[in-house]
Amino acid sequence: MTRAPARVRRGALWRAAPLRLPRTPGWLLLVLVAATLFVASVVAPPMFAATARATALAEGLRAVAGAPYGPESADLRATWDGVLLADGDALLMDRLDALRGYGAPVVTASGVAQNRTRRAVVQADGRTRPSEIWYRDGAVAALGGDEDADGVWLAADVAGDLGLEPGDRLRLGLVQTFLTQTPPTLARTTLAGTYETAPGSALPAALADDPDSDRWFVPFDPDDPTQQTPLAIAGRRAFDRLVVEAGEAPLYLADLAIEPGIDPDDAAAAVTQVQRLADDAFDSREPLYGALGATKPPGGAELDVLTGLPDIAFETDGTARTARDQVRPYAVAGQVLAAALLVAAWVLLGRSRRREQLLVSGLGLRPSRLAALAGLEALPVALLAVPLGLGLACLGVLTAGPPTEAGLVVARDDVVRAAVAAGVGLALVVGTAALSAVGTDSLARLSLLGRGRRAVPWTAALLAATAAVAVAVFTIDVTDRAEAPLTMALPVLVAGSVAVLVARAVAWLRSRRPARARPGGARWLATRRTGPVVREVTALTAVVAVGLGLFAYALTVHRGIDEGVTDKTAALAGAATTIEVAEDFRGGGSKGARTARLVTPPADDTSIVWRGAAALPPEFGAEPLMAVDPDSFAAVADWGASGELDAGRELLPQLDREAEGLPVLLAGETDLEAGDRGTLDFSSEFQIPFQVVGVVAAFPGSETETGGVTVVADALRLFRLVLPTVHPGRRGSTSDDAGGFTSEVWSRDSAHVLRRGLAGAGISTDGEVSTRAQAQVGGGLVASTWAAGYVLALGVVVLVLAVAGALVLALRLADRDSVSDVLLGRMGWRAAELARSRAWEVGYAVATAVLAAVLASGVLVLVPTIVDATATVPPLTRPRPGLVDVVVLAVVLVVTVLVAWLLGAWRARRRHPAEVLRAGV
Amino acid sequence: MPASEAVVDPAASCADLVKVFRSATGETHALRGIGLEVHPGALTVVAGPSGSGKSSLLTLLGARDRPSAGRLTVLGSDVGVASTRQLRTLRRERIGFVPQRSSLGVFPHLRAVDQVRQVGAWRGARDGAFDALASVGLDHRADHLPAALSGGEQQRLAVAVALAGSPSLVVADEPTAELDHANADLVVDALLAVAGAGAAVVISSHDERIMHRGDRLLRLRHGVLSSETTRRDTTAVIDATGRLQLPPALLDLFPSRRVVVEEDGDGVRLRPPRSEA
Repeated sequence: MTRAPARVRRGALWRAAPLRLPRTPGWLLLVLVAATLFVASVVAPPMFAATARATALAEGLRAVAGAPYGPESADLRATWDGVLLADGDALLMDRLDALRGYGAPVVTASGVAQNRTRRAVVQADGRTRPSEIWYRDGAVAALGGDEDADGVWLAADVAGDLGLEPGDRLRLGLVQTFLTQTPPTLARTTLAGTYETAPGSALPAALADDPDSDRWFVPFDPDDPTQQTPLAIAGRRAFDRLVVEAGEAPLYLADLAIEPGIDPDDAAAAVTQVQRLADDAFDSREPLYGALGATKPPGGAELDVLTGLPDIAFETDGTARTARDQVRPYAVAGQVLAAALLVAAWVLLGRSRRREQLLVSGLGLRPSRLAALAGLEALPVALLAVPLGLGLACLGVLTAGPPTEAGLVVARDDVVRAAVAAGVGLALVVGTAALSAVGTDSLARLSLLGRGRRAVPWTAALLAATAAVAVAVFTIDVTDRAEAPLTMALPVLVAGSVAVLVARAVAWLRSRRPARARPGGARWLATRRTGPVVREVTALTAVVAVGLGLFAYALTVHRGIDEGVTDKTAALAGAATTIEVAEDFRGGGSKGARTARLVTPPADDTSIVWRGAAALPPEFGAEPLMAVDPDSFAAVADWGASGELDAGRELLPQLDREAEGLPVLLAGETDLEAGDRGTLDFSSEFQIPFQVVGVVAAFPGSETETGGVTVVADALRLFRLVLPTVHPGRRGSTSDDAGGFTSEVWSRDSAHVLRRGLAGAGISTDGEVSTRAQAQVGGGLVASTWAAGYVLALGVVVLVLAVAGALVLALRLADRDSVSDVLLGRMGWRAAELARSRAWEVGYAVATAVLAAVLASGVLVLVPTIVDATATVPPLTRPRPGLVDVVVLAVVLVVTVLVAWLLGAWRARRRHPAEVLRAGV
Repeated sequence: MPASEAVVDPAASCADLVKVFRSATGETHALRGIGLEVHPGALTVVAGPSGSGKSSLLTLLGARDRPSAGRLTVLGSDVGVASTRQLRTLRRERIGFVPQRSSLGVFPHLRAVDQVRQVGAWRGARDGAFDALASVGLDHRADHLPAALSGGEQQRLAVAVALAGSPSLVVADEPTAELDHANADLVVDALLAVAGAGAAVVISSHDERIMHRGDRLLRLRHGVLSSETTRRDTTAVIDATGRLQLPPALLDLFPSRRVVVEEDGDGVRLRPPRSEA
């Protein structure tokens, strides 16, 4: 059989380059993982910021859903007070309809001229009944009538009182009811039909079912604002005619519901458009201005636009900005880490092709061509990394980012960003290859004997860098520390330093105390082999230790931030819900009853907290003062999650103990200590001596009001000592009294439950309500929880890198000195023994790494905090280790060791004693 | 010496060539003042014991390293002062080099024919890849990757790669070290053919059979050129400082390492001191 001649391919090196990596799946996987992580690390932060913005907007909209139209609602209500001409009305409707992010306008109109001396009525046969002309898009049709027909629809009882049947003529308009002879102005029309009203409402039953009907504009009885005026419902054309003929003052309202899934960009556009609409209404150059000026009767109309969307959008942007700022250091750290991994992967790949580099250099191939070959080789990986990186970023943001119900949409900008990142990654590879080629190309290195290496004191350099960065970071004020660029480098440097020190210490110990393994055994062989091989062992130890250490640190940071946010929220909000109650607990009744009323919880799971202010001489300025009932306060207040606030709870009983002066607890920064005495100064009107029973960093509600330190006292003991003029139990006391105390009710329940409980106890519920969720958003804390998710995701990535790096290095360690395995096999060593020996080698390195990781994470947890992005609110957030961390780490370690063990054993078993020992390929 | 040497410029020449390697443990003097010329159309064999400086000399002749001292000219370029780019171009276009270890001379991911074709293309040859492979007996393995070749076949492939594109100078560091006699002869035949076509060929070898097939044999000892053998005679070499190396067999005549030098007409006579006689 003759063999077909091989086809010669031109430019074989160039043709082969793109297909090289797939022939080595291990390297392909490593480079692909690195490139994917790099792309993801570039794409994820903007995605995170966009998701944070969308989530903040969604939460802001959810918080105001159902609120009345106005500044409290994101929905829009435009009002104008005149009958526009047809063209003007169409122009206004077009402008409203064009608002982005809002639904179609629904117009409601009503006469609003009635007051306590002028009533809107319908008349028939000399009988008069109150009824105000009213219109809403689709209302007549819902009643079964014709929108364009003349006539009005009256409530059945009104029509009955007037003895009217559909088709009967009637008049409607305004009549004077008080000391006037002005004749009524009434317009003539017919009764188009009647309707049954919904219970407790003037609206027809057919319309009242609309879930939004309680927000519709319905005219109220001027004599009793709690009651609605019966409605005379007309079609739009009839309404426009009747209000003019009846001399009514019309009010038109166009209600636009915000789209539930509106995205932040549309919201921002809507805010701009709304502002433009409001401006145009007063700009004489604009057609809208002219349209509003042409009314029937002449006189013009004024357009008002009401919506809370600008405030919500502003808060949304603030929250998103805070989240983005808090995540930025971690994002940069992730990008640097991923870029370093990509470069390291290519350097390692280059080292595995050292002989080939010498060959091409010897053959005179230019470094630029070699770099281009590397780029060609990495190009498929870069292309593949774009979708993979985007997917990974999406997955990371969805799982660890802000909670979003809208899902994640990959925008064109994200795709462009991913492509650019892949290009940068490719450039990194090309640059790395070029530098490596230039290095190899220097003629001195072509000579195989080579020159002596210049020793770089890496350990000393690492330790010095760690010390320098630590000093730099810890001299930054704690409020700015978390966002400083150097801060993110510190954990990596500390982990690296500890890893190197531990590796060297273990190597030194092992050299001092040789293993007591049986000579000739697998473990003995492992100790003999790893003893001189410091480089591979140190590399494996460092990679695993730094990776595991950072992962463990990320776990503790995530927990610390979560618990820290809960603590800070407790310090800001005090309890799940608080409501101001201005007058209800104030004076009245006997002295004993008055005093009891000041502290007795008005409902289950509530506590009364009195707030005031007092100075702590010699310090100037008033500090917040909280007077509490210790028992109910301890049960109701929010004590956080980490235990940082528990000290305050334990000190509460001491507020009621016998002391020389008023026992007080101080929360915040103060020079006073437990046992110190001083004087509380109340606006220089009177003083109360006090004794400090304890000082804590934070206390529930201590940050509600600004001040350096918050004074907490027992309410009953305090009120026994204050002047009668400010005593809230004094008969006639009001919340407006100068220097007086204000009261709040704190509750563990929701605002709804609290209001119901207070209403049941006869307490007013119209005071300002504050919730834990509001405190989180307002204090920028919710952004911290999102940033914590990013930290955890970054930790997981580091863990993946650590495991992958450990496996690669374990493989290299197992492959090292493979010739001796073959020789030992020929000398009679069994494959199982050689495999065990290799596994021991890896095991030593991993065990050393575990020790280093534990020490590194311990050091990072114990040093002063560098993770608190909202340090202005106490208590300080710090990493918090937990039992779960240990379990997770243990599982990771077991899996890593097991896989490394299996790999080592597998490689050792593959070597056959009959293998040809060739120093070649 | 071929008659053409008198009129053709040498492909490589060196004078007082010194190469010193520095390492953490000190300096190694690999070459201590070599002076020679390599002429086109001839196969020059460099022989000598291990550590005598053969590989260092061939590396320098291949323009892959720079001398520590002395002058080295390869194909008209002064290796000591030429730029890295010039030397790179020289290596790519005009010098074929066979490294001591065959794995350093082949691309692991290219088929045999492809890598010969690729290197030939850099030297301006559009075809001839199969001829180069055939000259070392590898035409039947043209579409194989190096990993599928034996150690000897890889060695021959490295030679074929070095010969691709008809380089002006071929430097081969022990090209027959891993070959049996038949294949070694095949490789030497190929090298002789290249030399016959006008290229200068320098190889190193321990193999006495190979040494005597060359046009010229240079013996190195302790980094010094000790003798030069042509088809006509064998001459000892006096270096620039006047030193002369005697062959080991003659050294035995002078156990005290002392010699009386006497002029003898138009020659010089060496004899042991009388006390030894």
